[in-house]
Amino acid sequence: MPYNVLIVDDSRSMREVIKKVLRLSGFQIGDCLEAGNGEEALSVLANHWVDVILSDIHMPVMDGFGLLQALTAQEDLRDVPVVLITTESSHSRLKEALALGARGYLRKPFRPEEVRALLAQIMGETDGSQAGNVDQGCDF
Amino acid sequence: MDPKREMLIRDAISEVLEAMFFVSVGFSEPAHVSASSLFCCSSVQMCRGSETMEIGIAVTESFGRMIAANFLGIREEGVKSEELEDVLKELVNMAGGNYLDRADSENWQLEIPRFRRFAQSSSATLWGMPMDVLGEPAGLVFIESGSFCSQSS
Repeated sequence: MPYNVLIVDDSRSMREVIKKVLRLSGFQIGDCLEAGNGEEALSVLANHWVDVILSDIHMPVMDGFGLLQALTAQEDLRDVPVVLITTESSHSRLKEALALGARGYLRKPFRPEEVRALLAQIMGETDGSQAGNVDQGCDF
Repeated sequence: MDPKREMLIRDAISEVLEAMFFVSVGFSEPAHVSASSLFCCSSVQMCRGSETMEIGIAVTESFGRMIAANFLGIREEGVKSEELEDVLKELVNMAGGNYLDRADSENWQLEIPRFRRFAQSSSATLWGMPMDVLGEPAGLVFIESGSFCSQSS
């Protein structure tokens, strides 16, 4: 079944690329919504249901960490999976993000097959034979 | 330029360009390049306490438009100025993150990328590693301590 996705990144170009990569990955996408920062994302989520959020970390106004904290504080949003798509290289910062509730992360640059694998794992579409921890990110 | 940093930034930029911009570039030994031969530059500062580094990528107009078109999946002639700027900022942002990952450097913070256009009459020169695509000049990459792009031309 198609998944509704919210892409959160302050770069409009990167949001376009993520949309394209999602389509190329073969992951079943329904509505693909966008926001330029965490605050905008919360406004979108006030009016739309999404199945997964793909978010950058470094954004003005409200960054990825702020978004994670805000989502955790809202009962109706805290279970929406958040995958970080980021240039962040600090292992401690990425661990902090996972501790705040992110389900996984992808480092930029990324390839469609890596997006699909991580989303499939997180959204539970695997056949159960794949090993791995959904809290691990894809590094490349 | 420190040889180890040279190698790391070269590899970081190569990976980013190939994975997201679908282009391979070659690099030459560090040299001075006239800013008048370049179109624009994006750079990102990285900070760790009082330490700062800056990675920058300056490109020719043709190379800039090509990689922006590749990134966005559109025709080169359709690339708008604001898209070119946005894309180049993303390029240097990803290159910076990739570099830090390769350098295994903890606690460095990437700042917001900056962008500037060069005047055709600019008399400034830039020092860095020239890039080319199949021998055709594409631009220049630099990495250095402190800030570069704030210097006036």
